[in-house]
Amino acid sequence: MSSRKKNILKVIILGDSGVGKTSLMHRYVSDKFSQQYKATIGADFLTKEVTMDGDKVATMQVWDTAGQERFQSLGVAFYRGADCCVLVYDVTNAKSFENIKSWRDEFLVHANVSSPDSFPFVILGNKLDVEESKKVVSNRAAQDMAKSLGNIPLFLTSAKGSINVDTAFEEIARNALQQSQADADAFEDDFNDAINIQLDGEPSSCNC
Amino acid sequence: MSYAETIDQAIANCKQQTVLMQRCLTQEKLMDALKHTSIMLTELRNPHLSPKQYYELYILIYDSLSILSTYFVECHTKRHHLADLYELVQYAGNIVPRLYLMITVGSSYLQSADAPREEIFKDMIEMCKGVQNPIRGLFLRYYLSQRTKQFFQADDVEAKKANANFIITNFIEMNKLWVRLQHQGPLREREQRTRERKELKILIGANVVRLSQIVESDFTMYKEEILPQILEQVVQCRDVVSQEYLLDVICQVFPDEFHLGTLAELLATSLKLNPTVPINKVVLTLVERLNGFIDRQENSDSDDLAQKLAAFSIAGENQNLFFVFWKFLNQLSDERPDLSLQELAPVIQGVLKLTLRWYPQNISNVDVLLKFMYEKCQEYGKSIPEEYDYLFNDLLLPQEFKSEPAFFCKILTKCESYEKLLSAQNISLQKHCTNEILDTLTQAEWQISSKLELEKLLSLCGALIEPGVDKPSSPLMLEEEDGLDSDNWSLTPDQEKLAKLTHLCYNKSIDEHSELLLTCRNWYQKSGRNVRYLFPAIICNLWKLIRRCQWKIKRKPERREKLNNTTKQLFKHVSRTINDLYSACGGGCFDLLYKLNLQTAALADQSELGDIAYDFFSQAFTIFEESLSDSRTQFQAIVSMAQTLQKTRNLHVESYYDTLITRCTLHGSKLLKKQDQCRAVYTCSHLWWATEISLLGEEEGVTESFYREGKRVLECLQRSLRVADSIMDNIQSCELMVEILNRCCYYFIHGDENSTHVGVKYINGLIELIKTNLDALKLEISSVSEEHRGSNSDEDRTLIGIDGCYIHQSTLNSVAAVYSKPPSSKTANLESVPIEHFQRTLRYIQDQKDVDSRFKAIVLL
Repeated sequence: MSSRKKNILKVIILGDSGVGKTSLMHRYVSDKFSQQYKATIGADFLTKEVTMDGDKVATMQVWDTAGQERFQSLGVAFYRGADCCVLVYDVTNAKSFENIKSWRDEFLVHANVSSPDSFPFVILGNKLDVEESKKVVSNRAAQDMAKSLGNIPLFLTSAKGSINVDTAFEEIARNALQQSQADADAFEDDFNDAINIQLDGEPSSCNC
Repeated sequence: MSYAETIDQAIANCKQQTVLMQRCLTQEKLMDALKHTSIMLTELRNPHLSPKQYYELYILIYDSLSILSTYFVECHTKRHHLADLYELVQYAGNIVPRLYLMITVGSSYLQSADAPREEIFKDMIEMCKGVQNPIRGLFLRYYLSQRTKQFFQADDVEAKKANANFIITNFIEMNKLWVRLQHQGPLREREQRTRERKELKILIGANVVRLSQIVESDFTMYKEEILPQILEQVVQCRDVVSQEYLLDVICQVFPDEFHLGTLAELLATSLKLNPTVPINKVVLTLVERLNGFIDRQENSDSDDLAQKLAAFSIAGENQNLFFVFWKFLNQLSDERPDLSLQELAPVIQGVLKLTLRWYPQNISNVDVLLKFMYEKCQEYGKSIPEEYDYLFNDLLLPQEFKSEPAFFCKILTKCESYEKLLSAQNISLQKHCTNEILDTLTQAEWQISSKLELEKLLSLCGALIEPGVDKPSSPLMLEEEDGLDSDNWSLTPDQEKLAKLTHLCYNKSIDEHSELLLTCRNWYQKSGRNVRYLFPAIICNLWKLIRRCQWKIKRKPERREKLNNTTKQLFKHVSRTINDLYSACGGGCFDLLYKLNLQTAALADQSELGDIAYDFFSQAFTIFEESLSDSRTQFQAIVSMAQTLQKTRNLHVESYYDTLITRCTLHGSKLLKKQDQCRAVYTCSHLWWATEISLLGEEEGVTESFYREGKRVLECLQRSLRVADSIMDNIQSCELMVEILNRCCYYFIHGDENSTHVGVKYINGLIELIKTNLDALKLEISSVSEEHRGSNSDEDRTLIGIDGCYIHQSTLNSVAAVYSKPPSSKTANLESVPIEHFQRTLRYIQDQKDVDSRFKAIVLL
């Protein structure tokens, strides 16, 4: 039963506008990068089949979101059921780095996860390819931040230069799978309760 | 089948049905699984859900249907054929569950290679027409778009076009549903409808996103196929919410380069919108996008940019973005005469932002825009209401100006429309703007070196200079301000800033610099009595110039004659400015005039121009004699005069110095109060005893030519001692004598007895006299304060300052207060003041005996 059960891993990418969320997703899913800038509105996902540890197959649903709040007119219901949350900042933009924490908090408030303390996050510092002089977020500061938020894995990436993107997403997938299994076990308990209720009320309407 | 009553129930239901469905799937009971699915989908028929709740449910259901879809695909042809299933689900009872199931099956079927692709697509989109309820229809079509997006990756042009057409059809239908929602239900719920529509907008926008993904970087396809169709729909629907949102989305989701290539089309569309659409928002979004394009360029040099633009076939006149916008503005103004200033100003502001970013040094663009706005203000006819201030404030003082003082200054001085537009505003806004302008220039320490530039700036500052244009009309205020001696004018920040402008003037040439200052003076003259705050700055700068002249003379002695003439000329300017200040302010500022004269006199003396110095001193005396009436001011004036005169060195021609110091001392001896007389005269004694000014290379003991006349010094001291002695109040009398004793010590140290005539004998006599007087004082007071004495030691103390003021020192904290009148409290034991002062002086003399043997002759006991 558990083999087919929920083999979809839902990953949400969050971060300020312009840090490269869409580019990271495209680089990972289709290994493409476009120099042209498009703003993302709302939220949408791409899927990718992943194989982990040699045999575990899963479909990864990568949700790209709008960094600007005004584009989330229907709210963020899509956070629900996420298995991993990716927080992205831009190494050339200090503000986007400072906002990492608020993105995490915002996610926890709306995602309704069962145990917020153990929910997996991954931080990505994007645009690693730009020249040194433009970088304003030091690796040190990023490591400290990742540590202070509960030893969150941190990757410095470049969607443009295809640096570290696959490695980062492997880690993301592993975390997501773990979370998904933990959730499935928890759900199993819920479900056993639920079935009793169901059996009480069901027969009358089921015989049609 | 029916839906749950609350959203929580609905969610619980969906979760439960999902589990049941999954269980049936593992048991391969497909029909049961479909049944659970359709129970779950029934929740989507609930008409009472808000858009957000509906979306929450939709997300949940989407995930469940994904599980079902995976099963469909995996077991296709093994256990069922999806073509059969596609038929089968048509029998679901309700249309909403039926269509969701159909799309799920259809999209699963499309994943197999043998599927009749076009037929399925066509059928699905046709069937969606069955749901005409706006919210349900929108979500259903959104579902269709989400389920089908994976099939849209095509490389050949025809397939791309077909895909695009499918999405556009869906988009048009969705937009219609969306617009229809506005007109549903009772009129009183109109606002709620608008709110709901705004929440739902993302579903419609998702289609445009999809189109942007399909078109990738195919600009031709975008320009020729996609954009025209979207824009046509935008214009046709004539709906405000829809038009505003869709133009925003187009700007956001397509790349900058596309917008550069279709700017004219986008702007033309914005002219055809429903008149209530805020056109400024559309323009601003576009401008922000285009400015963002520049920000995002890694290599921002202009050649690179031009190449990029050329790549998007933006040729000829379209290459100048400003020109495109300018044409649009004119069209807008022709076609939409209904636009108010309030709507128009932000549009202009947007275009202004654009030109400042794209053509940063172009002043004529700015000029043209401001002129356009000015003409609109003229057409407006009436005076512009204050509610619009913020609009013009943004136009006249955009951040881009303030952060670029050099460019700002160019705008201010070269751009004619700036001044015009500024002058069309109300006074308070004008004042605000000029204040900001002055702040910007002052903070940037901008140098004004040309007269033209300066005049332009001064004319911009007109609102600040000319007084009383918006004077509060209270009759009370007027009366007060008319009073000649009114000291109530307080320094306003405006005047301070204007005065600072004077300090920004600088020119290497002294003549031209002084011309700048005179220009300031001529403009400031218009501000009536406010020159009181402005002229001192000019005088101060003239002094600086004089010093510059002196310094030049030292460096280039060969030009001494010419520079001396310049200096003299500058002194004339100072004199004239002081006179103008006098005639403009009348009585308001004699003290100021007196000090300015003294200071100028000192400077003239340092410039070795005795005649001129004498003139300014004489002026000061005239003011003293004619106009300084307050006794404290008079005393201070004498002290200032004595201080200034004592440092002069170039007044010895025609015995100017003698005349002046005699006059000064005479005035001192005629002051109203005896204490003041006494102190003034002993202060004036120093006028006959010059001391070294090391800056001039003088040195005590080496320099021979000090002006010293011991006899007159002694005369002065004698005179002040007589006055002190004649004072009835014993405390005052004793205190003054101790002060004189201190002066005597000074002269005793600074010269030998024969020349100062202040010798051991004289000092001993004075000490004796003070002792006697103090004994008398002690006798006089002992009876009065006997009972206080014990307890007084901890209490507050009062001291007498060197200028006769009373200093109250509190023991509670370290705060001291200064009063001009004696404290009224009896407990302030003033009698201890001279006693303690005397003791301190004696202690000093005692100490001096160790270092100066002459002191040994002084008898202390």
